[in-house]
Amino acid sequence: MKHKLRILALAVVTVNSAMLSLPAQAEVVVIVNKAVTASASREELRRIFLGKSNNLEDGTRLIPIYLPDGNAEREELGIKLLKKTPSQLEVHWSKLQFTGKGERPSTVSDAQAMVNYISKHREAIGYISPSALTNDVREIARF
Amino acid sequence: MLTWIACGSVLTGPVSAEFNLGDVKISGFGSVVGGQTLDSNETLYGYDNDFSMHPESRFALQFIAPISEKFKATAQIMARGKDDYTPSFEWAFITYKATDDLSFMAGRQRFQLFKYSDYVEVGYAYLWIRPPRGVYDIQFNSGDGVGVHYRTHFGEVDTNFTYKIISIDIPDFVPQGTNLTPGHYEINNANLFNADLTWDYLNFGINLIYIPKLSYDSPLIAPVADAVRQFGYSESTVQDILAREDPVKVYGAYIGYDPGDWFVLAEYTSVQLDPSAFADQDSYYLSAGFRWDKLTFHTTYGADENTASSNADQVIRPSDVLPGGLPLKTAVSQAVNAQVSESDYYSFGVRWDVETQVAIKLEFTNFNDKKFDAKDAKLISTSIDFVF
Repeated sequence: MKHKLRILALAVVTVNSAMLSLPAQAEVVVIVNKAVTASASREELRRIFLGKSNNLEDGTRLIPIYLPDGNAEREELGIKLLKKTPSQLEVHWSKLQFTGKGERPSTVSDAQAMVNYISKHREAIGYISPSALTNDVREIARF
Repeated sequence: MLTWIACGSVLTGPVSAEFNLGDVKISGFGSVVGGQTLDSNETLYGYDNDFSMHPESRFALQFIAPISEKFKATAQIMARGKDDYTPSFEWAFITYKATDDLSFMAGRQRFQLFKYSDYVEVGYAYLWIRPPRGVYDIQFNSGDGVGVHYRTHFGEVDTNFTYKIISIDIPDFVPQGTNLTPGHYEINNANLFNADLTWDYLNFGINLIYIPKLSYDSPLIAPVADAVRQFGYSESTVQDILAREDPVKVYGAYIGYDPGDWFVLAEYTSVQLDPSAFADQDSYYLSAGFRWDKLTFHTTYGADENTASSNADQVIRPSDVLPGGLPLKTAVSQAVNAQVSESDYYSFGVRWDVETQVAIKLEFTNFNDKKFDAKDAKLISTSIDFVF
């Protein structure tokens, strides 16, 4: 266990320094739990990440998890998949939240926390930078 | 980071407190709005020629408490500058989530008369400092009742449907912007249906409301109705002056197109009353703008027409004169035409998204009353709107 932790800590340091040297990474990987076998279209993913649906067409239930505001991948996903700037996305959540029609998604602190959470929750879907991808989760799309 | 690893190693469930669904979620929104008219004899939307932050500033806290997998409780507490920030429960309802797409609400909740009605207080969520007043000069935003919300999609078209049955009972109602003697105001089982659809950049919605019974004992109207009754007119004439258990129909529709760099939006609304001293209302506005980085520039034109819902004065005999010497016909005519008006306005504004959860706005409004030039006004206002 101790050994494993050390490797994890090392990975964290490596990834952190990688992020420092690449301020605006162009790609974002959408990840799900390894138990999820379904595939998802761009339209299905858009709907799920905007909180408009929690199901893929085949019935697979997915709950979106976000990285915090200011995160580069959050911005990438916003622009490429959701077609919203950070402020427009915030407006979107405010409308859902303050009309009682929905809730803003839960967030995790960083990519490692995301991988960890997704690997433990069958219904969670999130996104990370390609460099943070590990075997603990499954890539379902890349933008 | 070490703390996180330590946490992660012992974790079987959620990795941080943020996922702890047992926790009450607290969020909120607010707007600090200031404004003044440009001329010393002008007033508009509660502002006059002295700069004031009272009429529109507000602050709200929202609490969402998960009770179980299916039930959650929501409360929203709101404090408004015009009420000296005395807090009140705007919302207090329980939600039953039958499926991810179907939920039921019971309790005090906001209702959607028009496009922006159910988040009209959340300044952060729209571009203007205030949604066009001709449409959104609504006395109430919330009431007690039950509702159902269903969302689904047809191909690439996302849709939402809500249906609510809401009642409002205010023993001491005073209309906004007046200092009238309080009167009893009551709406029984208003039926509110909304549908909206979003297809790519296109947004369309309709609102249909039927209120079987609306009553308001206005201190301005009751004495006139009493006089008509004393002169021996039929009860139906009296009821054409009073708002007592009157049916009301409200229609609204809007359409918008927003590809990101620019947008257009139009909304039309109509309020049709059973004959009374209160006027029928027809309103619309058109809005357009463009976005440049963190700035959004926008302009809006709107027009409102209030027409008399009652012609009770036409059956009054010219020979009937009130004790003070005023002909009864004149008194009734004044009452049923008191709300008759025709006006239009335009505005220019800019919204600056300072940070993700904070916006600063500046707006100029030119209001033109087509019947009374003395009511014309120019207003400059500015706001900081935030959510958290």
